[in-house]
Amino acid sequence: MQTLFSGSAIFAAGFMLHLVWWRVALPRRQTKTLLVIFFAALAVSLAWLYRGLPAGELCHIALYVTSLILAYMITYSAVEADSPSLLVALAVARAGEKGLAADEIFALLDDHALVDPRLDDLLLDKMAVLENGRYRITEKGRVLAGIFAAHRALLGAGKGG
Amino acid sequence: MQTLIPLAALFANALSAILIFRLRLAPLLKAVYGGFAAGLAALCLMQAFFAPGFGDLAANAVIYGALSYCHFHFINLGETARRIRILRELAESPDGLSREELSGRYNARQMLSVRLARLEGNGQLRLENGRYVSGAPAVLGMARALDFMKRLLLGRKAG
Repeated sequence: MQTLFSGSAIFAAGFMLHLVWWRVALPRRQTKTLLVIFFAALAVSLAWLYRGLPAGELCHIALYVTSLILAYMITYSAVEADSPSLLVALAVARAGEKGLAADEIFALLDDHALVDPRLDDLLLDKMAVLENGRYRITEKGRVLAGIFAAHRALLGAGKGG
Repeated sequence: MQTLIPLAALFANALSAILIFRLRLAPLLKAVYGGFAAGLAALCLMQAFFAPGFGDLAANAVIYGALSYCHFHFINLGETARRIRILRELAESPDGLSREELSGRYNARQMLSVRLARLEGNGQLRLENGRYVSGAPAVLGMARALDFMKRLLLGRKAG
């Protein structure tokens, strides 16, 4: 029960700090800032619990909180960047019983809405560079693409996207 | 030992999902569900054998659930993420790509066509007289939850 209660309390503390920070000022590098907030909360809490708990229990709490942080980070990425499938579901729901034709959906969600922001993210995160009007992948981007390509090869699946 | 149990269960989950999909026993989404079930069974067995007790079982079930959620999204990112798809197109082009060339290989229309077919295929949208209307509530529920989080955290709505 120690892991369940302590771990949940540490994650909740990190989340409250994140919520207050975001309401005051939205950071430019949101993912990086989130990681710093949550892992700082974890490190401070483990240092505080260090004298009272055995090492195995501390490791268990660290894993518990880390798994919640990772799950939240992956959810937050969907909050930060609108998912096309979810945008389609929302647009169709907002249209009510009348619904939307495919061409109306294409007009609503074009390259400007769906592709350009992701290209900007790649430049911001230094995964790609724009040189003489051409986008080129960087080493950092190649590593990330390689990880997903290797996993999809393991699955025996296509390019995706 | 407690720390290793959910990690071993996650390994069983990932391995089972790969095997189910590679052996063509099920499509990708069902392979992921199958992997999750196999990992959960492994977790319960290991828990009963090595560390019986409700507190540890509950904590490890949360850890396993959170890590499985990450695993599901990792697979989903490879399947649907725009950034990953763009990176793969750039990785295959040693001279880089102009915006127009990239648009020829990957664009919103092509992406939405695939997603509309997928949403219709799994019942999340229905096509009635050439118009899409809402179907099953799962994806719409997720969209509304994320829309709520976006309003709460970023102060703006989705779209």
